[in-house]
Amino acid sequence: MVRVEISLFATLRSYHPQGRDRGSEGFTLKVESATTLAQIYDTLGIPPEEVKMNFVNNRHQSPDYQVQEGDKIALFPPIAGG
Amino acid sequence: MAKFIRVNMTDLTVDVSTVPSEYSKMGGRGLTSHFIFNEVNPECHPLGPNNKLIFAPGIVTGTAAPSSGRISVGAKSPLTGGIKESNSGTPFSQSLARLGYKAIVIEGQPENKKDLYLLKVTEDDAELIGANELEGKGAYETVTSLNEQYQDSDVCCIGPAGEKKMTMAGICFNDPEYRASRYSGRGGLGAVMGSKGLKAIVVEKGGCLIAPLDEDVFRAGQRKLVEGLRNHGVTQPGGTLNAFGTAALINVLNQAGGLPTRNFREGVFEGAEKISGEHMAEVIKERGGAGMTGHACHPGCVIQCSNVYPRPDGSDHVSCIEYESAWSLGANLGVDNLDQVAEMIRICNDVGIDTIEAGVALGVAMEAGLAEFGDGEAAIKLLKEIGKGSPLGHILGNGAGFTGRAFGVVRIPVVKNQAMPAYEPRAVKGIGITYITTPMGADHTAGYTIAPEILGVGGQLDPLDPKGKMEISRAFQAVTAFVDSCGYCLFITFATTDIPSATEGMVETVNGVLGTEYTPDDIVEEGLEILRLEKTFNERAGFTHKDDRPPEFMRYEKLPPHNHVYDVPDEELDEVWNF
Repeated sequence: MVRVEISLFATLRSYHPQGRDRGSEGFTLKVESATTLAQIYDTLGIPPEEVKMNFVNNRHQSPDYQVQEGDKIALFPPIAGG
Repeated sequence: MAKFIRVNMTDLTVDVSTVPSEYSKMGGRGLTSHFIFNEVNPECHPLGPNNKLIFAPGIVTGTAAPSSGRISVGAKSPLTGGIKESNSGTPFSQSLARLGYKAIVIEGQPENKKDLYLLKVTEDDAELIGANELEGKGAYETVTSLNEQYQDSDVCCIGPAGEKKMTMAGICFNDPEYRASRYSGRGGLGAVMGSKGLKAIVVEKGGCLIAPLDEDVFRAGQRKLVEGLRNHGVTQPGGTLNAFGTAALINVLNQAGGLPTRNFREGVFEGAEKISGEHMAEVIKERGGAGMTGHACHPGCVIQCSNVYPRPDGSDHVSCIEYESAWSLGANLGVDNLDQVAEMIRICNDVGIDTIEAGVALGVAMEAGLAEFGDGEAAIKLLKEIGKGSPLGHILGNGAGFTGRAFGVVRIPVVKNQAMPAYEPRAVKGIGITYITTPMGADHTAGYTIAPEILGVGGQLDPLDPKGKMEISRAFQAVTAFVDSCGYCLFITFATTDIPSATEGMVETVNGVLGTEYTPDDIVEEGLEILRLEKTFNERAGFTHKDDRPPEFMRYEKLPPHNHVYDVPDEELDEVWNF
């Protein structure tokens, strides 16, 4: 098992395990080693099409990235601006 | 036929005539840059009698095209010394276009430098009226009083900073509810307006939607573009731009390690969440009252990314908190208090200054020890000095570069003396190429490579890898020059980049209005032509390839957390202009 820290942003905050009101708080998840980001979406009940950007330790990663102990994961829906 | 207003401030005369034929198919930035190229001596003093200021709605502004209420303002910039176009979304632009005006040109300079004037524009005429009673008035009071005096009119004005000819002064336009909140902020155009003795312009509302030359082509294009905007994840109703505003980018850039923090010392800000769009939306919901997200800067916008931020008692504090301002007056100063950020934006709006240039100048001032990073109250006090016009206020009000030189600071994040916006070039290499090479001085909107580098719009590139970014920056700069000429909000490009039919729609609306036959493939060439003119103007003003370089500190200081320097080679930067 590995532990990862997860933060959800914008509309994805409604998928926070402790409810939308806790959406701004990060949380720790314990998962099997070699778990992918896509599997984490599934665990959290996030439809994969709602996730546009994954950052792991400040770097972009694709949904098939396999998480490692201590990873800091940030998930975003489509966002833009200027 | 469309009309053209020329206001001569030397002899105080106004001429309204048919638009010169060479400009009849132009609008927005294409028109302002061609005009400045044709009529302004590149070597003139930007605040002297030989500079000219031009206001031009976009090609489709005033029609039923979605999100198209932009106005371009052009002149030789007193901040950069080069050509400048700065655009804003406002009902003022739609009113001007619907009265049949292609442009307003302000030239000359009054003999008595203390006198102030107001230009009143109606459907048939335009006249100059003495306005000394508005001297020293903030933009809020100016817009409110002119709205009372000239009912059913839209307003453009400068604040005290423009009157004092400070080079961070912007030009203010009203929003649909007559807030002094929409700015052509960049490049010191407010100082140019101040140098002409012009305090304000009021444009009568009225006129009707502009009828396209080819209604069928226009309607077909409009439908495709609206559909694209409504189906794209970013611009759709209830999408992130609509629900959280542009400040939703605070957390994104922070996670990417590219949010410039404490005067570009770091790329991650520990207080990012507290100044983010997500937090702002929560505060707006909790406080209620005048607060709202999903606010439109002009009627007919389908994106509606603006907002009204309320005080704790629910009263209107400021519109709006956008990404650039939340960053420049927040993370860049180490300030994580959104109410303090809101107060600083309100001061900027009232004094009439660019929030980006103001925030970066304050960051440089903090670097110099004038206040501690993180001290929001001290930042507010410094900002107020600009409005007062104190000696310190004049130093700060002349921008980040001037402030840095005044206090012996080395870490000055400017290109062509214009402050860098909210994306760290050392963490996002392509946007650095845009900052460094655009004729405008550091400007993210000139070629927003953040879309593919960070946001996954139009592809997904590694932001830290410089390879291939030169071509992307050049292409984005060209497309942007075209979009800025149409009068469309740049944010339509998120949909047009990902959805080919939306691009077709954009082009068809232009063809419908002008009777032209542009294809989507023509956009880049049209944009490159505008860039060539702008570049040539700058060369004649004395710019060389040495002005297309990053601030030196970014070449040797590694930026945490990625610990990269800016490593796009000089040769690659120069290659942008090899077309």
